[in-house]
Amino acid sequence: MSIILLVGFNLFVSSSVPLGTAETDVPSGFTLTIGGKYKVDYNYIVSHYSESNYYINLYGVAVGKELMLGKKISILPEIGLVNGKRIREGVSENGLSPIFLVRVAYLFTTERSTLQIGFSLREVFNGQVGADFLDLGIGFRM
Amino acid sequence: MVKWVPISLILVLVLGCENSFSARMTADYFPLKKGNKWVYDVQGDNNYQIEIEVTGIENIQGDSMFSVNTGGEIKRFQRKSGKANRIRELFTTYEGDKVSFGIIYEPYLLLPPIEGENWEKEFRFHSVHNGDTIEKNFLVKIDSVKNTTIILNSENYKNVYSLRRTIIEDNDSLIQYEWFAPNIGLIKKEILSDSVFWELASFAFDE
Repeated sequence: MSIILLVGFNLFVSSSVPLGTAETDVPSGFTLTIGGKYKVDYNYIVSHYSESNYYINLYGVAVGKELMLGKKISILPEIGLVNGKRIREGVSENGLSPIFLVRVAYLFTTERSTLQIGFSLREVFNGQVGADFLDLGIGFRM
Repeated sequence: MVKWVPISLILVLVLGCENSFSARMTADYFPLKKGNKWVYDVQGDNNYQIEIEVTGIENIQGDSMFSVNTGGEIKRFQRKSGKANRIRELFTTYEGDKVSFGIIYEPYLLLPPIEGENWEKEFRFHSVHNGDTIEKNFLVKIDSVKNTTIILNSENYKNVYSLRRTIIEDNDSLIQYEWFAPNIGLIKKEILSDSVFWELASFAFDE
């Protein structure tokens, strides 16, 4: 078993989440993956978005299967479920949504651990497909 | 290849489902774009149709200002991140003269709507006209925001937000109930005091 910690940094958010043109949306999160090559992985998603007068919290889980392209490129497609909460001035609304996530990482293997640098695309389903979030990530496999 | 079959099946299933929450999260409940048109059946003392069309757009200091022709009356709206304001000129008629109190930005909608929220804004002005002081009071209040499903003309609209809008201008008050559908906008309006009912008959959006 291996543990992979991937810390994501926001690169951009498309216009579909949240509503309108993205101005101050700041998704962030981390991915904790347990499992190695050809094993089912577990992914925890935490995101926070703020807009001019509201913000959205998303958190959830996704599972997928890692595929290796050669020994350096890791591709991990995952599906899962996120719980979303929209909040404005003390009023909030909750809901569940399916999510699709693809993480692509390049692995730098050293003697003790593997450094991985990559990105993930996340799509919260709304009947249309598009990359809702693109996060840059960096992490280690131990 | 066999290992991709269950993943592909799950993906197809998930992609085929429209999720209510994410649909509400991503939809535009007040889609203003030049050329967009809505036609409403209006029932009241007289039955007629009214056409609403977005006729113009201009960008002022980063905000979009829309001109909306509502049955011949031009209304102006400002779209900002997270909200839409209606731009009104407040005025009164005094001794046959029009006395203007300037332009106000009435908070029309908070976007995207959230069930249970409410907002209000009050404007108070006074002006001296021919030696007399004239006051102007305007209050807009929105409450009872609810998420609902509504059937209109055999069409089932999901993820609709309904609200109650109260406008008090000097001594006159108007209470109306409005329903907004995702990516369509206003689909129904009721002014109970006047027994006037609007229902969306058709709409056409400029692609």
